Amino acid sequence: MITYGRCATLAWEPVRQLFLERELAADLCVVSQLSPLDLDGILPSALASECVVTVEEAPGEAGFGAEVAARLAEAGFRGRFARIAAAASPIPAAKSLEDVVLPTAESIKRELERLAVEKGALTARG
Amino acid sequence: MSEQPPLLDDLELYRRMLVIRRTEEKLLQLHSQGVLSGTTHTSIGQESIAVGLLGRLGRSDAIFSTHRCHGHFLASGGDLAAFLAELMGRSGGVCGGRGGSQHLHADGFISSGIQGQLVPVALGVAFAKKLRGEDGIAAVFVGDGTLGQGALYESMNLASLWGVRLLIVLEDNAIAQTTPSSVGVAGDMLARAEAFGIDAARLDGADAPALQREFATLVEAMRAREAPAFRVVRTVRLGPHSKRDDDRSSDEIAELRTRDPVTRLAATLDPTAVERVGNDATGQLEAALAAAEASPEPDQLSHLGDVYPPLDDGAAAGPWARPADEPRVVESLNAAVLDLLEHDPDVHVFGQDLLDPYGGAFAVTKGVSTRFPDRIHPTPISETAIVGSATGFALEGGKAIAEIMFGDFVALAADQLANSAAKHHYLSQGKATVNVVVRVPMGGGRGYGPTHSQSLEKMFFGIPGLRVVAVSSFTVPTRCSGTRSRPIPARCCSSRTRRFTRSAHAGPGTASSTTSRRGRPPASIRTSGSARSASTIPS
Repeated sequence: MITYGRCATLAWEPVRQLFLERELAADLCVVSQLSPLDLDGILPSALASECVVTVEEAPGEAGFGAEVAARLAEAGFRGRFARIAAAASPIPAAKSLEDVVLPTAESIKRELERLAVEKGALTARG
Repeated sequence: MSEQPPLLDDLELYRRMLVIRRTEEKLLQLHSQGVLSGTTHTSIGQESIAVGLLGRLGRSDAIFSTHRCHGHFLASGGDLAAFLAELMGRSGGVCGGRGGSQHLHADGFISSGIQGQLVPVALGVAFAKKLRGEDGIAAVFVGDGTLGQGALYESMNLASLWGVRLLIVLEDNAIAQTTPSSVGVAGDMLARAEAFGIDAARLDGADAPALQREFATLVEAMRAREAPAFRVVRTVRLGPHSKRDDDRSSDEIAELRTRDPVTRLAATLDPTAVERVGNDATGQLEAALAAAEASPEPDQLSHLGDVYPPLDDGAAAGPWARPADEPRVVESLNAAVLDLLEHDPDVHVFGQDLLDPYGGAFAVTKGVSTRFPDRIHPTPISETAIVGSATGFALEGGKAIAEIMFGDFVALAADQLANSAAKHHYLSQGKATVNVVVRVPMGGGRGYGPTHSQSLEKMFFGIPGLRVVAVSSFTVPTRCSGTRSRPIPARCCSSRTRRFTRSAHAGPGTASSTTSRRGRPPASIRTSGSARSASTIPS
C-alpha cells in the first residue's frame, strides 16, 4: 500500500486488522516528497507484491495513484493495481455526505478485502 | 426603476436583528454541545449592516457574501428553517447539506468561504444586469481582511471601467480572524476605491436606523446611475472568529459592546414591545429548529449526479472531423467564435487585447469586435476578474468565452476555476449552470521561455465540476451553423432573473423576446487555442 499524508494514518488500522484477522500482510509505504516522485525505495516491495494499492484523499483522476500506476507499469509490474481515492465530487459539508466522498478506514478495509477476494486470498464473507 | 421597499420601523429593524442574534447564539451553543459539526462564523454585533442594506434590495438584485454569511442570508429573506437544516447537513437545507455554514447557494444569494472570491463574480452579475438594461444591483460583502486580496482590486478597476452597479460593502470589524487591522491594512480604506474613481464613504454600524437610511439613499442613487459604490461600515465582532477562538480580553469585548447595534436600539424602544419581540424571536427560532431537525438526512449518492451538468447531444457526437481543406487550428477557432456569436445572442467574449485590428494574441477573435462590437469586452490584465466576471455573467444566464492570453497565465485564475466556477452547479443542487469556456492556449515550440510555453492543463485535471478539453488538427472546431441541438431551458443563478440578451441597450421588453433562441454552445467551441492546447470548462 502506497500513500501519503493523513491517508497513511487512515490506512494503518485497516492494514493492521487485515493482518491480525485474515493473515494478509501488506507493506505500508508512506511517501513524503510527492513531486518529483522518487519511487526507487518502494519499487522492490511493490514489484514483489501481488497487489499494489494507492490511497489518496484527492479525486483519483490524474492524481498520485495514477502516477504510481504509470511508474509501476514502466518498471514491469505485472500484478493487480488499484486506487483508493475521493469520489469525483466537491467535498460536501454534511458529515453524512463527506463520508461517502472521502476515503475512510472502513472504505479502505472494504476495498482491501474486495481485492483479496478477487485475488483468491480470501473467500467472500456474507 | 426597481421600487425600494418601505423603510422598516425601529421595532421591525430590532426584530430582524434579534432573530439573527438569537440564531447565531444558538449555533455557538449547539457547536459547543457537539450537536453541530463543521464550522461556523457568527456576525454577532454586525447585524445592523445585513438588515439595514438587504431590506433595501429586492428581487432584481443579487447578493454575494462571505464565510460570515448567516445574517446576510437571513436578512435577505432566506428561510430560517432551511438555513438551520443546511448547517445540520439535512436534505431540506438551503443546499441539501452540501455547502454548510459558509457556502449558501440560493435564489439570488451566494456565499463563499474564500475571501474576495465572489467580488469578480458579483462584478459579472452586475455587468449582465447592465447589458440587459436593468437597474439591479450586485451587492457583495467583504471584510477588512479582504483588503489583502487582489481579486478585490481587479474587480474595482473593472467595475469602474464598465460602469456597473456593483456595491461593495466592507464590514470593518477591525479584526481578520485574529489579525488586527493595524497589522493587516496599510493606508486608507476609502482611498483604495477612490483611486479607481469609485464613490466611497464610511458609515456607522452602531446606529441601525441611521444606517438603514444611509443605505436607502445609496440604493436610490445607484438605481439612477450606472456606477459602482464602496461603503466601509464600522462595526464590531462581538463573538469569536469561528468557535472558541477569540483571544481578545474581556475588557476589549466590553468596550466593543458599547457599540452593539442591537442593545443600543433596544434601549430606545418601548420595553413591553422589546419583550414581546424577544419572545416572538425565541418562538420563531424554536419552531425553525424543530422543522430543521425533522428534515431527513440527504441521500448519500444522488448529490454526485450534480457535479457536472449534462452535455447536449452535439457535444458527444461531434462535429469533429479533419476538414479537407485543413485550415490552421487557430483559423478554425476564429471561425467557430464568429459563428457562435452569429447564431447565439447570449454569447459574449471577455479577455485581453481582443479588439480589431489586433484580434487577440493568437488572433482567435479577429473580426469579432468589428462584427459584434457590443459583445466583446476587452479587459485589463486581470485573469482572476476575467474568469470571475465571466462566471457571474453566466450565472445570470449568459454564455461567456473567457480568453486567457497564454496558458501559463491560467494559474492566476486558478481559484476562480477550481473553487468557484466548478462548484456552483453542485452547490445549487443542479439549478445553476456556469456556461463559461475559458480558452487557454497551452504549449511551447515558439521559444517564448519558462512563463509563456508551459502545458499546465494537468493543474486542472480531476477538479470535479471542471471539464478540460483539447483540440488538435484532427479535432478542430468546425463551423457551428446549424449544429446546435434542441434548445434547453436556461439555468440561471436566480429563477427571478430574466433571460440574457445581447443588446447593451435592450429594455426589459426586449429581454423576453429572445428566450426561444437560447441554446447551449455547440461542442465545437468547447475547445481552444494553438495546435497543442487545452480549455478548462466549468460546469
